[in-house]
Amino acid sequence: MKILIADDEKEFVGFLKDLMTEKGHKIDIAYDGARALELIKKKKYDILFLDQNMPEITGLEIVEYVKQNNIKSKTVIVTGYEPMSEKFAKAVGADDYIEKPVGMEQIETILKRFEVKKCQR
Amino acid sequence: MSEIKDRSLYLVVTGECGRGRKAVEIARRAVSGGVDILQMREKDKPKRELMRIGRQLCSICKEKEVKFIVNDDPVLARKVNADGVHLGQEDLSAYPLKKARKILGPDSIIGVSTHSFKQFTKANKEGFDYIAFGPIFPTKTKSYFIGTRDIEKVLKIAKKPVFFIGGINLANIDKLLSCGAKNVALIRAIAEANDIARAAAEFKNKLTIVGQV
Repeated sequence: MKILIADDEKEFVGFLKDLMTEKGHKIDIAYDGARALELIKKKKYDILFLDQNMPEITGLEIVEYVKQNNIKSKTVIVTGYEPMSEKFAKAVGADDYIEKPVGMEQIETILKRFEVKKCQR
Repeated sequence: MSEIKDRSLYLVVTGECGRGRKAVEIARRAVSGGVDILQMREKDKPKRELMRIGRQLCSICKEKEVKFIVNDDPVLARKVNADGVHLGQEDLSAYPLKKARKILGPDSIIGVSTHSFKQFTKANKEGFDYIAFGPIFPTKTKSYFIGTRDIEKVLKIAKKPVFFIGGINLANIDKLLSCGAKNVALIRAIAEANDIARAAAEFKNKLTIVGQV
């Protein structure tokens, strides 16, 4: 699958990137919301992993853009623990929501689920 | 070459974790409890302060033949007469293994942090004296954790001792040991314990018992 990881925390991005490339996925990286949006406008992704607290543009704002523009990518909001984040993520239509610290198996479960859905489309 | 034995207990000492107790106090108690290796990890202190703490920690360690490691900076490690240095992934561009070895000499211990099987494989080929792998369990300091699944995979290819790190405590260490782990590195589970020496002794005992089975 083609996946965009958008997060300003470099070590976390490295963790996701190593895990996903090991499984054969193609990864693009954005360290801020503006760059993420730029890439989403240019390329097609199967999944977007979006940190909620990126500089300039938040993960939720990107999900809103994706939904408003009928972009088919699945969206996963990633946050530290913040009350209401899950509710907001669901309200704007994010396909999944995960809280840091994120486990390797949690990511693998999400990837498998979206991979199956992609095959069924 | 200063060798690291299996069944080693490794404590990372940092002023941030210790419930207000100073690094020197934590170290003294932990060493008396049976810690084999002690690392000074102080990120935000001025160089002069690091030199002072480093020399104190070094002397506590040498008294009990505990190996003393300095985090991030091989030059500081040499200045405080440490046994070696621990390098994070982000330190490797400034201090690749060869450069760190040149600064510290051939008998020094040089370890590295790895956070994925890919990073581990690379470090394993390079010839570090030990490799830290983690975070294994959820921890306050990292936004991700690897879990126990890759432990066997890592141990199968490891050429040098592997220290598993991240969120390890007395409630989950058995799970780690049952996967084949022989060495652990800890921060909070010892430094934030009410009785530091006792906590260190309990972890050391866990490692030793498994080694005898």
